[in-house]
Amino acid sequence: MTTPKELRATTIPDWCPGCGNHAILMSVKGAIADLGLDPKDVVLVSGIGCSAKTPHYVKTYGFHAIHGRALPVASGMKLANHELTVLAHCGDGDCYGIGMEHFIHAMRRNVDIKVIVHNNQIYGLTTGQTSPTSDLGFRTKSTPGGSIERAVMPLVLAIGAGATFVSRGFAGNPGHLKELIAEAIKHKGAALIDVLQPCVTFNRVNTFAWFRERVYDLKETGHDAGDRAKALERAFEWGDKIPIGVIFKTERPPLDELAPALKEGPLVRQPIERDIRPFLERFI
Amino acid sequence: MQRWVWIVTDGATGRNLLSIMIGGEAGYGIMTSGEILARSFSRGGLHVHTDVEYPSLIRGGHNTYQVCVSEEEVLGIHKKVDVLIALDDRTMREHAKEVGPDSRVLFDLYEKPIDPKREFPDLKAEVVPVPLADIVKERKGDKVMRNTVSIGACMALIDYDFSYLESVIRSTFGKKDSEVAETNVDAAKAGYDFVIDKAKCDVRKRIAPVAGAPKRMLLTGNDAIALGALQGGLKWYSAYPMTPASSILHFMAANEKDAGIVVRQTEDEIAAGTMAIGASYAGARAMVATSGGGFCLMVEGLGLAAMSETPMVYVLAQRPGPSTGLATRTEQGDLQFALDASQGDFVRVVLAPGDTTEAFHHTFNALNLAERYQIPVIVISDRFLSESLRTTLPFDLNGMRIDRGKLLTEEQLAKIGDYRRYEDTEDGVSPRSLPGMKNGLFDANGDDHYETGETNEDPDVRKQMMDKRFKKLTKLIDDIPGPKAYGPAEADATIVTWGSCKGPCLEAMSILNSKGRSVNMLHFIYLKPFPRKAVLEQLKKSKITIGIENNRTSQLDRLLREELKLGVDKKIRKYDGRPYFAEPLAAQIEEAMG
Repeated sequence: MTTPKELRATTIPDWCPGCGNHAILMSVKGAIADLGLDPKDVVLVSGIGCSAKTPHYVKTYGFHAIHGRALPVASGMKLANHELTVLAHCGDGDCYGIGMEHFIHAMRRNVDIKVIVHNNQIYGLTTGQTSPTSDLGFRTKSTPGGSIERAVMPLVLAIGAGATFVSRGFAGNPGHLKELIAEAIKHKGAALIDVLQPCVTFNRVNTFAWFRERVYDLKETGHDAGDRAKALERAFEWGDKIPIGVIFKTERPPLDELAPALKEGPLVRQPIERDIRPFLERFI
Repeated sequence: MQRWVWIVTDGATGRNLLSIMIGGEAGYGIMTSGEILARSFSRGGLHVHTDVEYPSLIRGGHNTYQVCVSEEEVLGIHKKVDVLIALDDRTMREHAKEVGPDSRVLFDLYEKPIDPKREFPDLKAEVVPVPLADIVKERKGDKVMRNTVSIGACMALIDYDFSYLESVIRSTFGKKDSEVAETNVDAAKAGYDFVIDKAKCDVRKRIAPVAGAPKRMLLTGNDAIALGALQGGLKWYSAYPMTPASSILHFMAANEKDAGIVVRQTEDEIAAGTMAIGASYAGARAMVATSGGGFCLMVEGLGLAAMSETPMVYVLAQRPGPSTGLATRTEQGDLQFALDASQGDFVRVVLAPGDTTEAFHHTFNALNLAERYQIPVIVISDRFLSESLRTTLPFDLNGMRIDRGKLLTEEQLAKIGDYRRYEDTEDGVSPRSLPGMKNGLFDANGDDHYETGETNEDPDVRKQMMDKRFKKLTKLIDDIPGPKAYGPAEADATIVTWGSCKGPCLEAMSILNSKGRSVNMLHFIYLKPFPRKAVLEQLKKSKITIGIENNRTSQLDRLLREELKLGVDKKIRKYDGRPYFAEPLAAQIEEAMG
């Protein structure tokens, strides 16, 4: 089957050396390879920002869309052809700021797309402004006196929105992240993988070292991802200790199993010509 | 017994044209009654055109439903009202002026014993009192059923065979509950019988069924757009509810399973538009519909469709703006917005059908053009076209062929080897693969990009790719029909108009020509790319041109001036949130002709 090396596109990543995105890229390619997916059946969809360049670095189908809209674009293509594996790559501003509305609805709608959020708590490509996940007091070019707004809690929001797979990974632990992405792809339904992805240029607070002191793997604590109340408790945890791994997981039929038109198979494989005379008859 | 007095009601064109208006508060069943009236006439082989006026609320306010009916084709709404069914005082007050001395007003003077001449001094018509409320009470029916009694009474007033109304009531209510249907038939019959037996009035105006008339459909512009999309192989429809586009969503949702379409109501119009782009990228023909406010949100996706060369069809059902404007009224104020919406320069098609038949055929064509040229196509409608019912001959489906353009197969891809999605071809259209196909990998991109889809900011590449996308115009322009001419080949004045103004303008033209004036008309459906050559040729033949638009700034005239450096000679504009009515429009044209 396909190896991670074969998934390498000709375009060379132009991310900063040491950027957390390199590890995410490696993990995504690893997960695709491990699951034996055929690159022609995989689409990487992105919005705008450093994270949005990911599709260009993976030899699959891709759609580099616009800011905040990766999730609706991804949802549309999944429902049009539900045999595809659709991975959406967003940033924290992309997904939890301008695209927050789509994020909440993608979670509740449970279209079988995988939402990989490159969360660096900063706007990187626009050279360092505050983000919805920036911590209180965080100093940026747009918050020189320190942020006076508290950060959003994406995992809590996802659970509240009715997500069926909520998880967090860390770019400093690509092996763990690869497993997480693979598990998310195998899950039937919308899956959130919020990835702690230190920005080595603009975020001097939430660094690899800062996270290494705090992250712990939920697997080692015997966490029950099926328990919503426990999951919420973990989802709220942010500060001295930050959990990574699958926080919440439940079963609910994804939208492609519920849409009436898809009972006959993927939409794009159904004949395009139709006899509309019975529809016309209704107006006579 | 009654004596029948025959009066030709449309002195203007010599047609027997009857206009009925039913009015009352929202919640009185005005819409249902109007539709039942329209259907009863349509089943009798008559031509019908309706106009529905309602404010943006669910209970209270003032709703009217007007039905113009004739043995001959009716293309627009006339101002006059021959029978006014007033279910409340406000209808009497607001429409007293529209009813002439030969008209009749149906009102429940039994429930509200007033002196109509004193209460409504403008009223010249005779009031026919019918005990609507009592008839409902006797049947222990809900008060809302007064509407059914009133339309039964109306049928007697115009001497129209009751059996048509009866059959329409049965098919309207019978689907849900046959008991409800029978109660309504009984109530309508009671209203009918009351007028025949007790009301002391002559029938002044009548309309009779036409024997042997061809079967016609009765449908709205939105119905026609939806049917055109089905015929065009639509597979994806996403929308956020917005008047006057919502009935397309309702149609699609009701037929989701039968037609094999994925229909999604999304969190907003941004999602509706971008989900459709995702579906189209994956290979499903996709369409979205909204009004101006929702189109504002869709515009960022419109640009993405253009840059990623993903086929898309946008239906823009206009209502008066800016902002929320008049949420349930009509206007043609979004033409200039549609022509240039989004940042950046790109090729698009903007078209505006004039009636139901055109809405069907050109929505079908929109889906073909979008895929053949891999561009966004905007279909413009408005409240008047989208929500007015009109009788239409069954659509001619002959020769309608779905054209998927340069869509590749896996076999073709296997032969290509080095596939480049955005290859710079002679006609600017690049062969397209779909995800799931072998040897067709590519990245669609909203950033400008090289032939492979990779982001590229090189100045030469930027210029090359812009030019590549614009090369599509060379062939596209041949697929764009010029405006259509109506009326005599030569005339003293030429009406120049677009979109839904077609019907009202043709009505006005026929009034004027039957009076001995000499008027013809040029009607634009396709507005971008602009069919310059055809327009110049046609305009050469005209003497005085009179632009008629349902907006404040004559937006088609602005387009003509930009494209031809030549505008219309005289302008008629209307921007009161209502459509043009035939007779006042004819008078305005006559005045403009001098």
